[in-house]
Amino acid sequence: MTQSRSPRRSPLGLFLRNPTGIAGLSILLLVIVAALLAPWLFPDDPLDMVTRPFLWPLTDHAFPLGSDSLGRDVLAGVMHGARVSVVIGVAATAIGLLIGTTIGGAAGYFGGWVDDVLVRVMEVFQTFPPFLLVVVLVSIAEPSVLTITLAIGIVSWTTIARLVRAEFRSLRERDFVMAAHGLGYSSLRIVLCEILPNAMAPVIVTSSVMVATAILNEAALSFLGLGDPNLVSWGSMIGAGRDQLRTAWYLVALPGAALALSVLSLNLVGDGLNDALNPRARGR
Amino acid sequence: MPLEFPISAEPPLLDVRDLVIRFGDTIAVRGLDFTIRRGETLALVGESGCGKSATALSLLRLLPPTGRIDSGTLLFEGRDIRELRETELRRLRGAAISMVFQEPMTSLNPVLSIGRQITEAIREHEPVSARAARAKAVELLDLVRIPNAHRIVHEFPHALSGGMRQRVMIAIAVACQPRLLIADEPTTALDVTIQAQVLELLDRLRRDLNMGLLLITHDLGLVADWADRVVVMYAGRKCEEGRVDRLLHAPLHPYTKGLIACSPSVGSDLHFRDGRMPEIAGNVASAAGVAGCPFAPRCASARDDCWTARPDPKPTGGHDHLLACPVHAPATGDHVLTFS
Repeated sequence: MTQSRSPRRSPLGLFLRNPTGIAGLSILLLVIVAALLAPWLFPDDPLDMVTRPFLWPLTDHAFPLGSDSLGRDVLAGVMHGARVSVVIGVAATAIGLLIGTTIGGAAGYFGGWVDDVLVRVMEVFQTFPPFLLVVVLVSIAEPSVLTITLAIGIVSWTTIARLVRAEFRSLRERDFVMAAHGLGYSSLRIVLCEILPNAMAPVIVTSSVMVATAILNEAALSFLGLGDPNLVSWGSMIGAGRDQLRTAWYLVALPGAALALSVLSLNLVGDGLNDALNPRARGR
Repeated sequence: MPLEFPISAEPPLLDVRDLVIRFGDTIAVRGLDFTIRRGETLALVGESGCGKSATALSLLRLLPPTGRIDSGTLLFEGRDIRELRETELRRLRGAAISMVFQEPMTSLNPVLSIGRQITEAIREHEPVSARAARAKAVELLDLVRIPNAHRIVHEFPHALSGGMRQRVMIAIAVACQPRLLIADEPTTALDVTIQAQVLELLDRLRRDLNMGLLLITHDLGLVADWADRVVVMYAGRKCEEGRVDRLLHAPLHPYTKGLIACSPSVGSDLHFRDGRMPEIAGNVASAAGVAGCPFAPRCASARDDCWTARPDPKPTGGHDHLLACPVHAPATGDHVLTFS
């Protein structure tokens, strides 16, 4: 008989009832909306000089967040910077997920020498400090959104790979996998349709934190002046504003706040997802 | 062995000959023979570790990586399962030969709905539309007597009880109308009250679909109620085989006798307060390294030659009865009488 389970608790429903998750999601949506609206609100290049330099925030209606040392609009910069952060954060995480799930899944499912070889590869990647590797990769290639995204994706896959490998190792021994073999399913199908959906919960939680890490890496890269020179990013704004830290501290504080809020929101979303997707909290 | 099928000329559905299964250095099954005909229930009985489950898994070539079939033939409808290629095996599994596993609680995928798991099994082997497969899933749930089938197809496994999950497992197993169904201790994890229902279901499906049913169990009560023939295994070998009524009422092998004596049943005089429950002294591990009869170390009536000469199952007393024990074989001439 079906056990009474009123009202059905789906992971989404659980997430939406979680104040942490809701707070994170709200801030995240704000960042995404800013990124989407930037080209409509500020169709011109945010790197253009549009007013007099060092205009303080809330002093001029046309430039609510003021201007920097070269007279560039800070609000336009922060909103366009959100685009770079969101795009690089999501795309780099997608690349990391793709590589990490494939390699971790293969290592965990096949085991044996495949596992040995792939774990060695992961260890080689993990011996490098990730940010140093990003700097090296970007300075070899021409800095652009594409190369920065690839570089960050390439350094971040090991986290996912280790996680997926561990999940697959335990899942492949489960009875339902044996039952799936007994039904004549192919290995590929068992991996994709039976094992992978069961391994997704921790992967989803981790990927929200990976997006945050990717955004921070991109900011750090731009701060060091290794970012895409044709695009404004929060990191490059902070880097440009640090010389005027004592006279015009808002030039560092405003993009810094945007960066901190985005990263915080992603961590909150990660916590909320963890609570919603954790099998033990779901009450089997 | 012509004596095994004197009645029917039809070749058996499954004919296992001289099966040897090895896990590393341990031999789990050493030279097992048995056959299953269409529409027949064969019970494979024995204590834990005697090679029952390994035998079942070998029929689908699903032994874990450490285990392998060393020798023997596994003829299913005349083809040797051992010689099939991987793609042929996949076409066989779930379609011609299906298996119901021991643990209904963990044998269903927790993140997929019941309906999805049944339809996927159907569509793996039959070229039907998603809609037709869906309709068939509801039909199958009805067939295995699940109430509100149209609602249950949307449920996830965690919402179902163990008995219901085992019914779903059975529905998936019979989705493509297999010719052979292997049930590996299908009721061990279930309540006693549910056991009878599940076996009744399996038995009805066997009749309706004219399947051969291999019932693996250690519960002689189930065997008595649901099986046609029994193979009793000990330490990877067959010690006795026969029709259920004869084998359970007039067991010949000391191991079979011991098993039957150890099964408490309602209505018998056995009660733990009246004294020690009967048991077979020792354990199956003692069979390791014995050159003769594997049961000799635990057998009260073992003779000197039992330790040196390995007894093979031989026809005894007619009615397809096979016995691997020279000590307890009825005197020659006995079986002539039983043919009456």
